[in-house]
Amino acid sequence: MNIIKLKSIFTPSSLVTSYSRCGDKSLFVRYFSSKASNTDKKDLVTFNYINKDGSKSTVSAPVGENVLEVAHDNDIDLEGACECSVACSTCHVYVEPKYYNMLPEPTDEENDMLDLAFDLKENSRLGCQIVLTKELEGMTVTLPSASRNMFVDGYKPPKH
Amino acid sequence: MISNSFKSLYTGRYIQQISQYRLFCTSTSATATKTDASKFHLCIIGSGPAGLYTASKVHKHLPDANITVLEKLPYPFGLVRSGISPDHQNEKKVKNTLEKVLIEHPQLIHFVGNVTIDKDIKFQDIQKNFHAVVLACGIEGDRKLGIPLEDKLKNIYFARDFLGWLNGNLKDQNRKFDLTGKNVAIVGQGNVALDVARLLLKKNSDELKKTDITSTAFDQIHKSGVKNIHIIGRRGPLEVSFTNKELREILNLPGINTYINDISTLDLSPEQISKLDRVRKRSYDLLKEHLKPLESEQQLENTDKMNLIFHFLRSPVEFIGDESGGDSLVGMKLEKNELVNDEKTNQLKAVGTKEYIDLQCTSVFRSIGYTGTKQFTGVPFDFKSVSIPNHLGKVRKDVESPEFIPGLYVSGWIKGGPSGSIPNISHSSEETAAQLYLDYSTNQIDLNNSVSGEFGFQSVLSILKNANHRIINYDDWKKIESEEVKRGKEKGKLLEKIIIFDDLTNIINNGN
Ligand SMILES: Cc1cc2nc3c(=O)[nH]c(=O)nc-3n(C[C@H](O)[C@H](O)[C@H](O)COP(=O)(O)OP(=O)(O)OC[C@H]3O[C@@H](n4cnc5c(N)ncnc54)[C@H](O)[C@@H]3O)c2cc1C
Repeated sequence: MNIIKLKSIFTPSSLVTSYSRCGDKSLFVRYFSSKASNTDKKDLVTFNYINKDGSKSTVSAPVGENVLEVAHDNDIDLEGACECSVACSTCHVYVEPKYYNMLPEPTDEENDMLDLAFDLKENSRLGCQIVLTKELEGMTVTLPSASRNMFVDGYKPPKH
Repeated sequence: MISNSFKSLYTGRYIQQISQYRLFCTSTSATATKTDASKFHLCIIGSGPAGLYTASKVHKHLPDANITVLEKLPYPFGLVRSGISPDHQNEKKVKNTLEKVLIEHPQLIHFVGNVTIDKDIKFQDIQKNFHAVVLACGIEGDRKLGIPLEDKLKNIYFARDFLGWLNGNLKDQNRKFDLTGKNVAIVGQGNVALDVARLLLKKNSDELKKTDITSTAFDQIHKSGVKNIHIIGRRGPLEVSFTNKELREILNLPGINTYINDISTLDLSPEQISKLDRVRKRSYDLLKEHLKPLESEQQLENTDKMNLIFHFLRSPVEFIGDESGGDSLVGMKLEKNELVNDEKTNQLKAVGTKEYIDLQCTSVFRSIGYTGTKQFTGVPFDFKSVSIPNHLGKVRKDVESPEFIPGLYVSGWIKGGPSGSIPNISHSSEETAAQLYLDYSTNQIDLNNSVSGEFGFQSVLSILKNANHRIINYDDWKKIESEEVKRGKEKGKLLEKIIIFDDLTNIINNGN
């Protein structure tokens, strides 16, 4: 499950403004995913995002895509600054504990990035490293939010 | 002007307004809010990650807002272009995320480069011509060691200038770095220290050559005589500021020896190990696995490989010049430290033992942080925290003041101090953008101060035009970039950066 080096980091294409999050892989998956969604519902996984404002989005996406790519395909506000190269933690999410335990262990590289994630918790993972499998049907992932508290009724900024 | 005091946050009116906002926010999604902000003009100073992230996050809240991003350099992206190491192209990919906001909204969001505040345009004029201003200008002013001969001897550099130089940053192109000597010392144990060490260790790397490092810089590094790189820190291996990713990366470089000055600093009991937090435990494991004890200088000689030596619990107390009394550096005097619990902060601090050793080196890079500078008239700066005093991004009237300067915000390093990587900046900008939006939607930003005539972006253009000042806009920048790509291609590398200002203007003028 190592997608770190799928795209050579030294291709000039990384300069041309690209909207791809995961380099060539996403194109590859897209091609198959559109086929899959037309023909074979079996290969779709339905799961939920809790957005930064607390709202919930339910999406279906093919097995094999990762949680970051699916977020981008569905206009969910999850960043992916390093485009799935495991060089940042901007796609950090919290995974519902039941499902967290089903995921393969994070690699050292992912752990190094999680070290730097804002508000790390026991159930933190990088979205780009969560690859959809049928097992994950019904999972909920929550986006960390720097501002959610600020928009809550009666919120008082902490005194200091 | 509305008084924007801290207390007013607690008034009933404010809470009520937040509730209205909440209703509004939940009925639509936060990303598709349809406030009419077409009369709102925001100026962001600085186009590094903080500036562009803030632009994008404010745009999400207020899709009609007019945003002008002023930048003193001729190009955007701040330290992504001129700080992050060329062999960290994955980290540099954030450029694509940052640039989107400029590409997608050319009518609303304007990049204005090559503008120095107070030289080309007065800060007060910016405040007068915009409803709100976000300072996102990073932190400058590198910290010196403050020890004898530091200002007298040659070959004592700031690590950040070295990164700027090899990243093609215009202001660093006149600098010369002497890499001919065998022993180089780097003072400081944060990531930038590791960047310098790693780049020197990669002197034969074809991969590095093909990045956006300037060809001049690569040639110099390639030809360098450096064999031993000493990284010096005043505290122990458990107090380093390196992140584990950078540590893992350098310790795993092929073909190098990695040493520690005193292996006993890594002797921990199982009980001590069990008390380490997650991040420390992982960095401890890395150091323990990779560092061998350095028992004699001879070890460094008896190998063809380059040596990387971590010196823990050492503080430079004096630079050593050559015997002739000239300005050549030959070494540093280091004091051995021990760690003592500081009762005030409850943290371990390094205390000198009055025992000294000399370390031979002919070049030194300092990477021990920043002092910061007070840049803007009327805006306080806290030299202790090296940031502008603020609460959730709103600028305070003074360091401890409960009151705020209306319409003034901060984001990024200038807000939280000069540490933290890209994900922190994204988070910092999200908070500031949310605070600004909250103030906007609770009418705490005065929208009636438009003086007659021009306002916002147009007023900036007029002021600069009247002063005959050349700006560099986004389209100009794209011309520069495509020329850099073209020159890079010719040399079989990612980019060849343009490092002469006149070249930049010629490229823009000639178009393509
Ligand atoms: C050498 C080095 C290497 C790094 N490597 C990494 C890395 O590998 N990974 C990582 O995640 N992070 C890295 N960082 C950290 C990262 O660069 C910072 O977290 C980030 O750039 C801070 O963003 P900022 O926008 O606050 O400041 P900056 O990036 O410094 O941007 C500030 C911008 O404001 C402009 N400016 C300043 N004053 C004015 C003024 N008066 N008027 C107009 N414009 C002004 C500056 O020219 C600059 O463009 C590195 C930092 C350094 C120094």
